[in-house]
Amino acid sequence: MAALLPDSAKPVWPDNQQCAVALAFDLDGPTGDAMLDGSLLHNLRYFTEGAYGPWRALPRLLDLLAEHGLRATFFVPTWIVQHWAGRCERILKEGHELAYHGHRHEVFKDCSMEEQREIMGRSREIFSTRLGLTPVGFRTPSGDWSEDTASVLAEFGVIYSSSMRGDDRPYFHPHKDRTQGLVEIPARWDIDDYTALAYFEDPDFPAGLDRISDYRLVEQNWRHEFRGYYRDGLCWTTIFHPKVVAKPGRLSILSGLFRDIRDHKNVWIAHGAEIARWWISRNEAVS
Amino acid sequence: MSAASSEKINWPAGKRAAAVISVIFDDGMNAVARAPDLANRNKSHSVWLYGANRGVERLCRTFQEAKVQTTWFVPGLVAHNHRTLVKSVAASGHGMESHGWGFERHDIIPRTSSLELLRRSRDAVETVSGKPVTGFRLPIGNWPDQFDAVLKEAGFLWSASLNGDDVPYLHPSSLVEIPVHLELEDRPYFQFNFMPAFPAGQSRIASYESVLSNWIAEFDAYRNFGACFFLQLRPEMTGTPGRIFLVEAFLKHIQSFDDVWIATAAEVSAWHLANNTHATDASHPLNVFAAYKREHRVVR
Repeated sequence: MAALLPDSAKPVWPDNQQCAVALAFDLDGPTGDAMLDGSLLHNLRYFTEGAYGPWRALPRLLDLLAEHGLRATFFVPTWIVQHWAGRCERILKEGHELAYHGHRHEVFKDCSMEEQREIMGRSREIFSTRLGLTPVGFRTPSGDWSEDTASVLAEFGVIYSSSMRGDDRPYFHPHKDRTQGLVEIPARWDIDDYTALAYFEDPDFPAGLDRISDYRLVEQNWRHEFRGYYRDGLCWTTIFHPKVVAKPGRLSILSGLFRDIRDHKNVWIAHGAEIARWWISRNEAVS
Repeated sequence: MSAASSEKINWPAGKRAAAVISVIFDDGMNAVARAPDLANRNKSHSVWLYGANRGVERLCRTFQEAKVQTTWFVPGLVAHNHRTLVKSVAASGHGMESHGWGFERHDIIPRTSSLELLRRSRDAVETVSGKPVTGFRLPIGNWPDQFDAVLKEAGFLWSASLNGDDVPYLHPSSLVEIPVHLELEDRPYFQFNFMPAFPAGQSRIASYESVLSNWIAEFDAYRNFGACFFLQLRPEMTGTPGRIFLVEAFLKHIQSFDDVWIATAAEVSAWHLANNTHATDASHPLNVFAAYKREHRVVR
């Protein structure tokens, strides 16, 4: 009989906790492709669908997180910080982390290194002047990043990214001078609310206008996801959007999920930044 | 807690939330506007014509049994073409409102044409229904700049066309907006035609039980948050023998609470105007949109 593959790198978490959970929300609001190509200027209906997120959905989501005693990371395009500064202050005040997500949700893969620096510089300035903070985390908006992105992020003091899909625990991005690069906290489509719940028309999402899923089945899937990561002792993060998952009836999905997380013992609920720092310190200790 | 999340809208005494049941009766005009070839395909077109043929009556019978007054959006041309049917829907106590004239796109026609078509639509629906028309739902295309003022000029008091919130709000012209949400419509779940394809990806028709369960989850949350739930049905999609149970079960659920105001959209609009006329703050979606346009100097 062939030997089973050993679990090569089961992570160790602080105080020997069983797994890490970095709940994460992308507060995109109306930013994104339609804002980038200018079509949004003439599409108030679509704008209001996005604006519902920071305006109406976010406060209810923050109430729900507080009710369950959960801390999360919010990846926020800084155009949102400019226009909903009060809402973003509340995120900060309630103990959550804010991190980079572009200014208007730019597609980093299509931006030159200089353009990426410009976006990051502008974002850093807005976070600093409006909220008095300098983020250390980054999630790529709209798809892929370019080969320059990791270097640009390092220039801005970013220590981690949560952009990739290919693992279920943190790892280090390779750095060109062979020093330790950015920490990656990978997420997966499996726990992205767009895949199950997002539905927009004109412009259409999903492209073929697939149906909105059954909320209770979505809750089941996401609970299975959390439990799998818990069982294997991994690092679980989410790609949730207030305008999609914090609509009134869908908060019941999050409520069920949060209760399930809280019913498990020894779960390290942490910001992305805390997980990244832990990963860095562990790596230094090992080497 | 911020003012925003604790901010509650006032509803009539004893009511903590509102629910509007609406019907969009466009007799296939939306589908033809999106796929003009449909008009020359008898079989495919009949998928939508089923509404006038059977769906309208079935929905009305269900509403009558449940004793619920609903809000109907009808293009002027449909009121004209289905005079007897629309008259009898109005006679059974439902509010009849405008869904434009003939699925024109107001964002690509001159303001004067918009105004003319809006007035013509209002007149047609009023004449056929014998009741005043105060509300409007944008049929297709984008919401033009300052369209609220055009609607006011055409004699409308409210619209149910935009999103951005789940309680009513005011446009600069004081036109009331009662926001609508795609997940509270039947079409995203049920529309299907093989060729031309509706929806584009020919997705599987949703599970009826799942749709009912989602709508109930939404309604329960709207009730909890004191919001204005706005269901949008189509005669050709839920006025069918196999799906009407969904409407019946849903109405039974919402009628089991005595603290929800089940009203027509016109009643909600009038209530809002009289009791909730506060100005919206700078981070309201409408105001952020105005700021966004100023950033880009879009001035017409």
